[in-house]
Amino acid sequence: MILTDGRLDTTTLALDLPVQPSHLVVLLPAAIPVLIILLTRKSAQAFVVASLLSFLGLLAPIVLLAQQIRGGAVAAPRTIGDLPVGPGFAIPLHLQVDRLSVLVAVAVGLVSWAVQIFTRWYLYSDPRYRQFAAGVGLFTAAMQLVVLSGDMLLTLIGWELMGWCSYLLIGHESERPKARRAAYKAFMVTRIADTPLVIGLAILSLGAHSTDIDAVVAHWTHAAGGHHTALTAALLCLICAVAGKSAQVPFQDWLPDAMEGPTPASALIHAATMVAAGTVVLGKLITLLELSDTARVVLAIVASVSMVAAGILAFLQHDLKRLLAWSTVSQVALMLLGLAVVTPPDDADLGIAHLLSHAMFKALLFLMVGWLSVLVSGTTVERLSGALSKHPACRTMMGIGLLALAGVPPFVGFVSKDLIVDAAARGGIDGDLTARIAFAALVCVVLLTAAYSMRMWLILIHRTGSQRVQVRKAVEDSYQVEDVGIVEMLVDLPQVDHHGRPLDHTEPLPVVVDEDDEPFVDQQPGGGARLGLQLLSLLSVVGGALVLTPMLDVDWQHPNVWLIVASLLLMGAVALVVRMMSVGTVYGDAAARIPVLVRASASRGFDADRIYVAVVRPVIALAHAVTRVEGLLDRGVQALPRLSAGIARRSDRLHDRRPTSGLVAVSVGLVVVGLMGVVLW
Amino acid sequence: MVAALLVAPLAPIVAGLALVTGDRSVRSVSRHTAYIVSLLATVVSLVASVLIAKDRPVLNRQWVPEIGMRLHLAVDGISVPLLLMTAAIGVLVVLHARHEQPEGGTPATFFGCLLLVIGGGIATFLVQDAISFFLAFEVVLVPMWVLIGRFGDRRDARERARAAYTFVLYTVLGSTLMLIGILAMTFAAGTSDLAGIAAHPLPASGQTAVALILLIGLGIKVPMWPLHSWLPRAHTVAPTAGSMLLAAVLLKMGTYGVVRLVLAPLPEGVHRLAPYIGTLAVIGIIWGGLVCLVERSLKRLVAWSSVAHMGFVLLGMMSGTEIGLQAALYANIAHGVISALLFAVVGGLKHRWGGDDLDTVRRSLRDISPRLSLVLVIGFAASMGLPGLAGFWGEVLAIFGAWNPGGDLPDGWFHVLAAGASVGAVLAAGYALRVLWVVWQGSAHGGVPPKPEPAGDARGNEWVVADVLGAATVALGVIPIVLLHATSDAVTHLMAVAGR
Amino acid sequence: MKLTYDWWLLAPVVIPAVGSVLLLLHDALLPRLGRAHWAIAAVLLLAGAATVVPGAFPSADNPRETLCLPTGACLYSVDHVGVGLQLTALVSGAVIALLALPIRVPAERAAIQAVLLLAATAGATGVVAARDLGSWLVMLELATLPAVALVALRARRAAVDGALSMLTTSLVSFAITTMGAALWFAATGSALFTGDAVLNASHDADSRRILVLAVVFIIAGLAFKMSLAPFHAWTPEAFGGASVPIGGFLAVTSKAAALAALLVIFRSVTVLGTSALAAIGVLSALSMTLGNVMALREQNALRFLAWSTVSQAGWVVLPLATVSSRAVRSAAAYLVVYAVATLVAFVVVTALAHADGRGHATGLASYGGLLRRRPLLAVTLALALLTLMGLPPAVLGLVAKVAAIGPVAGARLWLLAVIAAINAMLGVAVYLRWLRILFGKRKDPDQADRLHPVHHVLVIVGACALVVTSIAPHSLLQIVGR
Repeated sequence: MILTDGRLDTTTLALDLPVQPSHLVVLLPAAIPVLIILLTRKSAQAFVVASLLSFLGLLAPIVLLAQQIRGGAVAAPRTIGDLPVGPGFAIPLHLQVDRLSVLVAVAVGLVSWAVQIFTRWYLYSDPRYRQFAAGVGLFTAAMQLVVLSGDMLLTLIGWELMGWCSYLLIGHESERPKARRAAYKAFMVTRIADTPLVIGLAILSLGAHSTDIDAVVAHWTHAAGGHHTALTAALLCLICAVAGKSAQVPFQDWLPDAMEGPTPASALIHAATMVAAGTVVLGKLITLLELSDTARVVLAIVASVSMVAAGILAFLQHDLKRLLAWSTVSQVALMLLGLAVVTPPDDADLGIAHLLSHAMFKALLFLMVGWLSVLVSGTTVERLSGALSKHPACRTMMGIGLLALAGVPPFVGFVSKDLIVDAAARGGIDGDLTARIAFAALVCVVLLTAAYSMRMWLILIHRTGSQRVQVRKAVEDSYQVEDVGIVEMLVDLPQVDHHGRPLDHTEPLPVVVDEDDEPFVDQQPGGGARLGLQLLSLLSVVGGALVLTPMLDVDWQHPNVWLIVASLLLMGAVALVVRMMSVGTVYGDAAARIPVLVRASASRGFDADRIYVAVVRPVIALAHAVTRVEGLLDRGVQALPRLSAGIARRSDRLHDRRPTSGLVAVSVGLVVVGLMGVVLW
Repeated sequence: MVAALLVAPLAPIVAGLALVTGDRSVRSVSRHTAYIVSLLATVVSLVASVLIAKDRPVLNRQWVPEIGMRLHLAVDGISVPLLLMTAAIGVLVVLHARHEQPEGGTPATFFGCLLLVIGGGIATFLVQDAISFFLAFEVVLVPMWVLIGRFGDRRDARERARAAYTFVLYTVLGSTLMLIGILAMTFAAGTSDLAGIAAHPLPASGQTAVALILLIGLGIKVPMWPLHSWLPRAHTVAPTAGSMLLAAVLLKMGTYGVVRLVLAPLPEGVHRLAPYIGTLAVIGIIWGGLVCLVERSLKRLVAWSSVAHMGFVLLGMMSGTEIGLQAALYANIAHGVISALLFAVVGGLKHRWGGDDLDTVRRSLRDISPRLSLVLVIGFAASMGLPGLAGFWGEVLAIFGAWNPGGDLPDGWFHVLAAGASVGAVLAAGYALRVLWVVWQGSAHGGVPPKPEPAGDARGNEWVVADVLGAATVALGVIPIVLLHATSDAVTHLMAVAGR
Repeated sequence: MKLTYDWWLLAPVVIPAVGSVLLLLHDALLPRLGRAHWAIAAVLLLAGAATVVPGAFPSADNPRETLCLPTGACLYSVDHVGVGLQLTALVSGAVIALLALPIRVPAERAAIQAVLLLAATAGATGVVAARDLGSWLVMLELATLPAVALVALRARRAAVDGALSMLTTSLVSFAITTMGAALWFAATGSALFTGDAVLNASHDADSRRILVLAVVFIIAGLAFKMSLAPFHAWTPEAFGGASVPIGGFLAVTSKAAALAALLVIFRSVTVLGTSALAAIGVLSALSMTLGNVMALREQNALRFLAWSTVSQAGWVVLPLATVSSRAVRSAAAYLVVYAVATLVAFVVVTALAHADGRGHATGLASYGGLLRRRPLLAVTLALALLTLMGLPPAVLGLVAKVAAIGPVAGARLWLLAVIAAINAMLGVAVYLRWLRILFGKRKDPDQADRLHPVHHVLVIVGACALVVTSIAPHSLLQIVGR
């Protein structure tokens, strides 16, 4: 029909309609929660809606991609129109379609589709499946909005909405106190980190008299000389918010706790949406970032510290899902470094490239771990040890995921990571401070990544462990989360573990015998979900080829061969060391060689949570103080009636009913009045 | 069409008086009759308001020449949204009152007082004459006093009486101060017509004192920070319908008064006072947020959150920029809808629980009554300023406006204020999620989620009311464009007048 | 020397005065029908009022004058405000007479009471128009002393006490006023209240000082009659002691007389500027506050009304703290509204006292649940109270409040204005107390008769008057001009 109308230009695929594919990219996922809430009552109906719309939500960005390639995409589609807030300020609220954003949009669509399909199997018997599916839809829409936003306010909207969705998904199993707390923590930490965001956006857009991102970039690139400090301040505000959303130091600790959410949620949050948003936003403003060295250095330092620390923590985790979580932190830091090291006139391709590859293999890994965790009912080392040897079906895809994570050629992880290393090296040789910091950190992290990937692989394929020793009662996932919530703190509870005992950090990990768990063995997700997984793994293998296309403009022609060889050798060595360490351990866990004290503390993220609590405590104290003051104020107001009553009683005593007192009053009054007459003269 | 101008406020007022007095005849009016009458009255006035909003008629004739009070009814972009909201909320409140009729008096008195408050609100937003503005301002007092004092929380009679008195006395003091300011301006301008007053302003020197008196007077109604202590009391005690009106209509009168009587006619005075008032506003935002973090009574908590939100409105107004004023007007409407929604839900919960103490352990609302929990989540998400819901635009634009204030207001200080406001937004998230944590997610320890209890869930009128308000909250958040367009011309004009 | 006479203009004073004499004769001739005297008095007063109304409200600029000397100065002049005050005095007097009609008193006392009422009202109407010291003083006392007798004539212990304290105070204040008058004469050298005499006096510093002292003394003397604090001590006693209608008379008619007397002085001294009148501001603030605070804990309905008159007196003179012709009209306007509301309140209380027994009508507590027992009375009383506190639906009271604050706010006397605002708040607290009792728990008297038809009619009339004037305040306020 559209074709007959001649609305479609067949060469450029340009659509002459009010609704562009770019709109659909956002609207289709956004329609999922609306339709689910309005129409559906049963999980099955909800699944139909969710799968259908999320599939369309995958097609839309693909069409957009096609348009972009053929050059028929509308660069800045309007949305609800310009907000009238006075002549001096423009809020166009339009989208922005360019190379990178389209690519990211496709990745997001793909991951969220895979997640939707997988969720149906994973939460089959969950009475709250509808809410979960709705949440995933809204989450995707928010991310797509950030990706395609051409307006500061739209970015802010998507940004905050994602925080909210993460709250909903992490707190999905809200009958568990830990899930409630983790959700609260995730939202509050990111929200606190967002406080400067509004200010930063205000500085940028008020300076440019518009919230249009292009206008802002244009204005500040010209005005930068004059208002350099303002620009730096604004960028630092943004970086703070990004650190919050991307779980960088010092806000890192919410992400591992977010593992309380169902695994598909983790896959969504880690792979495509929330944590990656920071990269996208900074990528849009890369031109400004390049202008301010201070901001770049700060970003580089934050990213480097988070990257290394997260790598170490990942190696020490006792819960493999948390291992993946920490690896996400370090990988996201890698993306941010990719943004920090670029110099004018380069665009944000490096960071975005790693974002794309990470989306592929991290989604794959999480979904696989989710699958395995269903099979062996747990994600701790004890549970997962030897899981692959028992369920070979998962072996290949898991292996692909881990290889990609470790960055082994020719997997996608290798390509994107190596490009960043190259850039850092080149920059370092040119004497760029940022690049040098980045390079130092990168060297460490390449090794760390190899190490924890190897460790995970060894645990999973450990042959004998599962037969020899088992845990009697199901060890709850990641039970080290302190059960101290902002609210409970009012009634200052001691921190307890899942047994209700006060936490003793030196307590050894529970190890007891028990019969194995047959009923789970041949469970596996439905065809659709498996298809999604296979698609993801395929992309994790060959995705690296993307850099060859014109879609990404990166310098892949002259790789630094020596650097690659050296790093590969080192990675091999590290892998060997890990193998050695794992020999003879109960679960094939290399980390078992590390003192338990260190491991326990690492599993709690080096107790960062306590620092957060310590930060919140004074606020609560202040709140109590304020309430007390308020009480005083109120009592003061309420005292007024009594005051007047007192006055009345006192003057009533003067009014004894004798004429004398009346006359006295009269004469007094006379004197007063007379005096006034005289004085005022 | 001019008839609509009279019908809109008089339909509820006359019906209300009829109900209250008619109730005193031999046998009292039946609940059903009272409900039908009220519903008719409010619907009629809603229709009239829509007509007024459509083709803006004007009625302007002599009323009490001795004090220069004219009967001048008209609307402009600033008052139309408030008018429509008040009329709509009126209908909803009546619907809700049918669902939840508190003891303490006859239904006719209850509905009558509701109608009087609604009519007073509508009149306030219609009049264009300063002195009759004061009159309309006062209409709501006695009925509200009755609502709180007679139909309030049954558990504590003394507290009820105290809350009612605190409310009425505070407000009378405020409005009399406002009257003083009005009369000072009227005397100088020689007319009590709002436009006339704005056209012949006081000399710059005299403006500060008048602006101060007016701001204190209106600040009590808004309420502005140190003058707020009547609000939590009144809200905690008032019946659900009363709380809805109090939050959605009465507080708006205060802010509307600030726009009409202070911003337009006294630009210099405002300019001189803006930093101080802005500071008070931000203190209010943070103060309210902090109290909410530890408040135990749910209804009281919502009341406190209103104090915080009105702080945003004041901040926007004091920023002296068009964007700030737009934000303030937006936040005004948004708060009206959100707080009405929250009070409807929270009142329902208090009704069901027989108390609203947050420390009591309860099962997760999300499982046992999905409908209530849905609106509860929408309400609190909106009140923390989540994008896509009504609360967002007002707050973020107010911060934008405050970041670089108009005129030669002290930039640095307003930067601090803007930062403070955004900290307040974080506090809002803190307490909103706290409530959701305790109420929505419940305090279960593992185990399977409980089964829904349709009996305990929102049904009938309550569900309709909550639905409409929730839908309005979402609509305001998703398409702010409509409301902003409605106000923008009037705002531009006002800024032009004040900027002369 | 020859004077010009305009009997039509003098009628409001002459009719009651002559009427009182006729009543005396009538009583001397046929003392049997004592009760009829009240009716006759009421008729006479209404007749007097009727002569005022067709006087078609002269505008304040060219007052209508008579008793003019060949020199051109006139001893009797009424302007628009004056007409309004005369009308108030006469009508209120008539209402009081009608109220008193059904009350059973010994026949020999009834006649004299009616006579005194007429005389006092004549004084009230006279003082409005008096333009020379002599007649002004005489009229003032004519309006005062009969009132004392009226209080005393209830012949109960309380009544006598009240009358006594009223008498003593009135004597002192009479002395003060006379003193003031003497000083006035000394300063101006003229016995006439004319602006130019004052103007001449004010040029010379000494005479100016004396003149101010004179004004201050006169104000102090009148403050007693206005029952402004601290000259109010007699008020609660007299109200509590006198029979209910007489309380109404003291509250309304004699207050009108007092304001009229004050306005006569005020008009002529406006040339002096505000300083002379600062005293009024102080007195007004003082009595507003005192009256409200005392009323807050008063348990006796009549004494409550007394305290409320004290505070309302403060409101009445509030505008006079500023010098302007607007102030005069505002004060008069407030007085008129106050008169209507207070009168209605007294009508209700009298009706109740007559039906349920005085003992039951005096205690505030015994009004509990009146809304259920006697809806008509309760609604009327509620309207009156709302008018006094100046809140809608009683628009009339609100308009009066606006009128009273207007000049003060216009003159930017912020302190006084804020005090007024606080007292507006206190006033609401005061009257809400009574209102709440009306709504509250029902409390039946031991014996309850039906309302006397006269009272019934008066109550209905009062209610209608309040409703109508609330819808169209103009209809009432126009009698004092704009």
